[in-house]
Amino acid sequence: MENTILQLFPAQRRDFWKRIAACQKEIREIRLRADRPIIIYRLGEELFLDREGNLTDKAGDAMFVSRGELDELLEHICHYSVYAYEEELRQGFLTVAGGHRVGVAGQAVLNGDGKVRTVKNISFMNIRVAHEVKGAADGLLPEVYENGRLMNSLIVSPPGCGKTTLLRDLVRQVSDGNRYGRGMTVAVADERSEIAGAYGGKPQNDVGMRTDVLDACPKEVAMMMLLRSMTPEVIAIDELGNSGELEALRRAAACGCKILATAHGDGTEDLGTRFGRGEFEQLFQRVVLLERKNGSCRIREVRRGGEISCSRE
Amino acid sequence: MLKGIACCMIIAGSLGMGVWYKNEFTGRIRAIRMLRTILILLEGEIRYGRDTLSECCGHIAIRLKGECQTAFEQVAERMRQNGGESFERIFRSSVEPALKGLPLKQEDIEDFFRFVGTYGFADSSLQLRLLEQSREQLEARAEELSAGNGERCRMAVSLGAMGGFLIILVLW
Repeated sequence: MENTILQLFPAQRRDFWKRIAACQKEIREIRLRADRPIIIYRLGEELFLDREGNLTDKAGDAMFVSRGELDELLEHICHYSVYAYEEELRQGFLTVAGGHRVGVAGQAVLNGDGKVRTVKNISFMNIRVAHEVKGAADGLLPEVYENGRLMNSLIVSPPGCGKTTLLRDLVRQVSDGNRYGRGMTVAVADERSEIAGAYGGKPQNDVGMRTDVLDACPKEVAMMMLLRSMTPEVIAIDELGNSGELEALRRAAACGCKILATAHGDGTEDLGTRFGRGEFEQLFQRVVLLERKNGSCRIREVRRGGEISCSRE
Repeated sequence: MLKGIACCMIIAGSLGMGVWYKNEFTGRIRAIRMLRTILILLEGEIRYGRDTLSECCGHIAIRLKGECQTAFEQVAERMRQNGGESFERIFRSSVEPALKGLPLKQEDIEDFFRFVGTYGFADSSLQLRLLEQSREQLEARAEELSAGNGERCRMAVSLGAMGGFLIILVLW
């Protein structure tokens, strides 16, 4: 994944971006806003880019990006075929080579039914640099296995705590096999291309040797398709969002599949409000709660069938 | 005897020139129809696969022959390598030399390239419409050329033969 962010930029801009690309491992986000300074988030720090492409903490020295440059960048990212990314633009983000995600915002164009048709006049871009953290789930493995059997597990945290990173590594370790259990066939319903970071149908992140990915398909539909076509032992989804998806997971579990999922939330109370108290607790034998403390993310507690089995507080 | 041989050579030469012109006229129509086929293939790839233009080039290359096949493969490969060049630049620099080898006029080539000159449509139907425009333009030209082609071919061969006779008469 080295220097893959440089490939996002057209040839005439690469000289400017090459210094940033050289320290890709440390970069978390690149924020581009029309007629506003370029902001880079590196190692938890907010920095600007000066005219030579060097990082600076002085906003006054910052290089501004124009609307024309954003248009040019979008064209390049879309391989000069913006129409081919119609669906992604509708959702507001594109996954690119290297597994990075480019979020876009501007002016939404709505259909008659109030749904977003596309986003035009794109004036804001957020390049989220993908970081694969192999071994992130090492500490979680003993919690999600019981006597060599994988338990249905849900990872819950507020945004930015690393639940997707954790799920990705969990999928990889479950798929490849680990000291707690044998390798299993995993199917990933990756609606937002966040787990596998698939680009052109090919996962850009290591999700394991026994993993099949259905990319960019609504989770409910994807789970049923995968269940029928790939006969998985485990189904993994990111960001469980509504009761329809929970129902699809329940059906998958009824077919004998194990479930690995994540959900936004601050605790089980949040989930109880969203899905109904006890609804998810019936399905998930393990609920892992994450938190951010002193700038780093960690497991706060693991609940086993509603009971706290391991609290790190 | 010598004069007779010279006359035959002049007639054969001028007649050959007429036939060459006839082939050029027919060859241009054939080449325009090939460009039209390429555009139809591109439309199909966009309509059913929602592929990017570079992916389309890679897919349709296998259905082409000769230099055109190589050129389209080259476009797909250069876009895959992502050297930062625009699609228009890559497409023109790879495909134009291949088209120059065909009996096409510059206006035919420009009509074909029209769809790469404008891009950035967020809607596939607009992108398809642009391809259709290029195709319709080429179809109209091929039709126009075909309409008078029979006469033009006969004229070329006749003029070639008559030119030969004229030269013989002048030199006799």
